[in-house]
Amino acid sequence: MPNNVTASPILEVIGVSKRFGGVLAVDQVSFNVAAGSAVGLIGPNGAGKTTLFNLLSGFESADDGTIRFAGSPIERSFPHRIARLGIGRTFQSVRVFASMSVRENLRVAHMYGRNAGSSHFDERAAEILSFVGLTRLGEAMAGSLSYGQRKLVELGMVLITDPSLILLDEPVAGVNPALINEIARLLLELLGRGLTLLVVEHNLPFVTGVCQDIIVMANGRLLVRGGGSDVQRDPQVLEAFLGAA
Amino acid sequence: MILDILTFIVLGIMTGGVYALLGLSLNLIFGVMRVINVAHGEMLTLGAYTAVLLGIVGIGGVALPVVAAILVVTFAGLVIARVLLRPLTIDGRVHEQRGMVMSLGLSLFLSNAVLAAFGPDYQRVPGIMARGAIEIGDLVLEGQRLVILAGSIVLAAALMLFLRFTLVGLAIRAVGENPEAAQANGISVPRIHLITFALGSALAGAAGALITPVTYAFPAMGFNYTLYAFITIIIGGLGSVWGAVLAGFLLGIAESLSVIWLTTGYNAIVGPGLMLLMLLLRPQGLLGRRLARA
Amino acid sequence: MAQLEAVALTAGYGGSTILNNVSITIASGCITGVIGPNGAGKSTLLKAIMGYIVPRAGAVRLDGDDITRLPTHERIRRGIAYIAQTRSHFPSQTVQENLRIGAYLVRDRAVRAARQAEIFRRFPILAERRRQPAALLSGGQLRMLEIGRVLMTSPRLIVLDEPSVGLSPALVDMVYGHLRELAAGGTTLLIVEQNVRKLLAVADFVYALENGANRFEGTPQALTATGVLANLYLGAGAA
Repeated sequence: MPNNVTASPILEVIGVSKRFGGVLAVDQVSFNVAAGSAVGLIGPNGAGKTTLFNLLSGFESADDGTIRFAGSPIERSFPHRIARLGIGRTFQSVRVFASMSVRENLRVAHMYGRNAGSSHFDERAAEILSFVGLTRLGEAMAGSLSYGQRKLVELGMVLITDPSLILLDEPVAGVNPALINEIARLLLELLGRGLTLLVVEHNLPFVTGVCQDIIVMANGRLLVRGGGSDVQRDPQVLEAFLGAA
Repeated sequence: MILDILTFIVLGIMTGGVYALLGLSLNLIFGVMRVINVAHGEMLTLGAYTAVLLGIVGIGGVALPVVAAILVVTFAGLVIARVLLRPLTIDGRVHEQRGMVMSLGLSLFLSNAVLAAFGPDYQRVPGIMARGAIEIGDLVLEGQRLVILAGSIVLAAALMLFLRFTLVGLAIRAVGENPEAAQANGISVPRIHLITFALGSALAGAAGALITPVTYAFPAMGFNYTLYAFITIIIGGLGSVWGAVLAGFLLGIAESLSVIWLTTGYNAIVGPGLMLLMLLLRPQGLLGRRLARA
Repeated sequence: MAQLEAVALTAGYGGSTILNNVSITIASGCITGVIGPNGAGKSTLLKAIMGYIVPRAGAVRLDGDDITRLPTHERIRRGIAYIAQTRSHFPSQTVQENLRIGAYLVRDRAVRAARQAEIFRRFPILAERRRQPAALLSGGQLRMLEIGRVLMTSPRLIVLDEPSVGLSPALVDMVYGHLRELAAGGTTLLIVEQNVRKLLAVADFVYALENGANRFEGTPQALTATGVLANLYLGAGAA
């Protein structure tokens, strides 16, 4: 299914480039993401996906181009400002505070989100713990949880900042199959509630299950964009993954 | 006045030699194993008391106590590394917090063991290393202190040459830089850790034997030297061999000169004061590089 | 000549299991390749083979001897060499010192000198830069240094983790040219690769891993004949 740009896209990336030394990690990339959609971002290693995520979440600044979130430019913004605007991000290496309880982790995240000042933390925390299925483990030390459970805590931390767009960086890497399905279900729920998702993943079945719309990156450029089955059958895409002969 | 300043500078160089040796030896242990060894000064104590023991049985001089101290502390170092440090080592590096806490316990244990064995009294080594003094114009250089300086320089130079030109020295530097790659070249990281710790400790022990003729030995003497060893490597820069040497001498001179302006009790602030200054102005130290984690 | 087997390896880190019952056989004198998408367990497999991690179950055998729990440096002693994906050298040491470290286990000075001369002949740029710190070398030159370093022990088996990473196509060709030569000389190679096409062009036998399990084994021709590649990287439903 081709990308339907509805009234105003929630995210606009226009001609964005990023160079590290002599290497062009992201090369003139342009695309839009419609509000309420789920877009998958795939590509071989070194394609520029993580760099692009870093640019979108403010951890790097672009050398060229513009990034607009809900109309405002964010290409020069700091990560905390971007979080306040409503973009949440998870990381490949699960970043939770091991020596704090699950609830305390949510508390910290809450302090830096959109509703930082609000007093509804307790309700929100209970809601989110229930959503990710960790209600029983609210007081458990985050460091003592399994890898998969920590990933859920991280998701909870993102959710409590009340984002409208979530950037997920390899949300199911190293996760057992049962939990992969659970995470897919949670993401689809979030979609149903109107959130927008941008997902980087290597697990193709997972990505095509959650996202209708897939962008393929290779060598810093946008290669192809389309629905799951179109992308899977595109010979260019396979070539990109298999490398140059 | 000039004469005074010169005298103090010379005295400073002489104490600086010991600081340099301490800094070098601690740098070796920290740089390669990443362990913050709070018991480093106790290795010096062990060396000092070896000299005391020899003195009690009537053996004095320079070479013998130092050699004995090296042997004793090498053995102690090997035992400590094998029994206490190896269990804390993961992936070629000692667990930082556990290593530090363990070394703190070790420090307490060793100083109390010495207390139990020798009693709390200050001990002097009865033999004298070198009599007399050399006079250059009006400047008087005490023979004993010259021997200490010479000894420090010889030991420090020996270490630096060893690291630079021998195969084991190369292996030690390799393990410090990249333990995984070192293993991939057939270097046994556990074995290198043993050698490094023993070597670093032995040098501190040698320093202990060298200084006993001019200072007293007492069970808690190690702590101050541990402190100075750390101050030296922080000022010189973690991981820098020449930095430790430079910082050691600078510290000795600064501390010595400060006596001119500060009463004797207060010159103890010079070392920590310089360290604070360095951390504020140039945290990587004089010659330090940023230690990257492999 | 070396024959190495990984038999029913199950391994992982902390709470997660990355490899599940994976077996591969490296026949002596051949180039064996391992491919698979990210997260398939390729690097973990190499770490278990090299002894950086101990598997929870299964065994690693060299010429029939069980080396599953043998420390890494002992495996090197038995003739296996390893070039990791990144930082397989010592940046602050000179090129020459890096090679000397590579020859750590070689006692005979004449042998060392002869091998070093051979390496300088093969890689003239290393000879030129012998006294420079390795940190100053470019990506391609570093790969040459790593190969040179490994050749100092004249290993029977060389294990390489993604040798093409970070290199331009021309440099990748150069590296693979050297690897082909080594294989032709009788050295066994185990290569994990991202660049599947490059690997298929040189490998005698290929294993494909997916989600920590064996997915395919066979010759490169057999692999390309099936639809496995597309499935592996693009999921079910691909061509």
